[in-house]
Amino acid sequence: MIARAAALCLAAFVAISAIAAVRAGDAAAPLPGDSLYNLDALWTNQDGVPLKLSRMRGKFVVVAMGYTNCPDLCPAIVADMLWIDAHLPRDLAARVRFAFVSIDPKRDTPPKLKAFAEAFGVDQTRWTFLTGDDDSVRDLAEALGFRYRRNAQGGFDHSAIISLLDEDGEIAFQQNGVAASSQEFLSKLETLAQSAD
Amino acid sequence: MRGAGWAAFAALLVASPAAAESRSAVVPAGFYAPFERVKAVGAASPATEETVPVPAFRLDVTPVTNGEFLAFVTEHAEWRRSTIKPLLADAHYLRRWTDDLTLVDEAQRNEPVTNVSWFAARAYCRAQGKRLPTTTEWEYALADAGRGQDEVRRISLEWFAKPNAQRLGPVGAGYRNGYGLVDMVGLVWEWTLDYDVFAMSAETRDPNGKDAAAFCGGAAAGVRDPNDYPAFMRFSLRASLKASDTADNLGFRCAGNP
Repeated sequence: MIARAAALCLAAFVAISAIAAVRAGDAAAPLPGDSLYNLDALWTNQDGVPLKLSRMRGKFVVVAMGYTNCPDLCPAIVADMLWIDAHLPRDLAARVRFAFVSIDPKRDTPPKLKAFAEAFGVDQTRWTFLTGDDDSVRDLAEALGFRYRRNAQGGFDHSAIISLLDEDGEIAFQQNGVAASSQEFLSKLETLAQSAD
Repeated sequence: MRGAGWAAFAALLVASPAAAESRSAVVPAGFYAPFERVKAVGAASPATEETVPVPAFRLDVTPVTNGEFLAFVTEHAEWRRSTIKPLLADAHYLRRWTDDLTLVDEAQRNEPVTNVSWFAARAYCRAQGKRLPTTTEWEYALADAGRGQDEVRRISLEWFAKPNAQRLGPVGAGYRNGYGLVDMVGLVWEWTLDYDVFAMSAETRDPNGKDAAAFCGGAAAGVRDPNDYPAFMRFSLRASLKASDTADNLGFRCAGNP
């Protein structure tokens, strides 16, 4: 009888584990084919720590690309991300990460990214500023639909896109252009979180 | 014995670096007048006679063939039709092939590979120690220092007028330009590294301004030659693409350092 109960408990445990294993964002489950985390590039964050984007798996990620010397557009992009962060419900904030990926890896060294992060006063436990090699930047940009090129002023002409990744790294929503308020983005994020619960 | 000797000689030819080198041609350094005239923020009009320096580079003589791409996917299983991630190619990837590792027939081996995404083209070139050419490099190579431009235009217009053929025909049979490059036009469209830069909106360059280039007619004022219909077609086609897109008449060739 005890053996039978133990077997039942074991079966229940295995079943629960199996359900948990296929939960979105579970690191043990295979990645969906259109997940950005299939790009296997190695990045370096503002603290000089190497990491892959897939490290953020299991969180909702707000990601944008730009560069720190950018005079107008990138501060506006970061401002939109800050707006989103500031308006996140408290219980959701811990489940969200922010990533700003440089398109200017030659100049945007980790110390430069660190200073950029500090200038905006963001919570660096939840915000990551990344630099990588040119190939990795190009691959990620293409996957996000982000367009950029060097301009004659020594900077870049580029898109303004803020993307929302679900827990498995799939693009759930994109805001094109900067906005006075990113209310639509925030609503999508809240809806995504509710559907994941 | 004589046959065996010839086979060995042929194998040596295939394997020798000199033979591999002959797959590409050196395009010498020079200046390129971009098709698109970018209006600097705050400027009243686009720059007029702006040229950009282009360092020397190598470019494959012909587009990459099905046979060459088959050898690549045979070695790199993650780029096969049945295994590629949807992030990296759409559902039409390599659809002209019979299956993962089988071409329709032997003739297809020497036809240009098509239905390959930007990601796949880039991975192929990387595996050869090469890269995709930039749009500037590709267009500079086509410009051919001014040689044969009437011929390029004629071939382009005839090509546009024809419906897509079921079979593309072998590479290497088309017009050879002054650098020794063949089939730059008339056979397939070709991916470039930064294929999408032409599609950048006026707002991207001047996010807070009322840029005239954003309005109808503005585009024609911002190109080198508004009458160069084939160039409009090339830049528009590239601008319409996403990196995971594939098409029946879209291939590529690789570039490298001289």
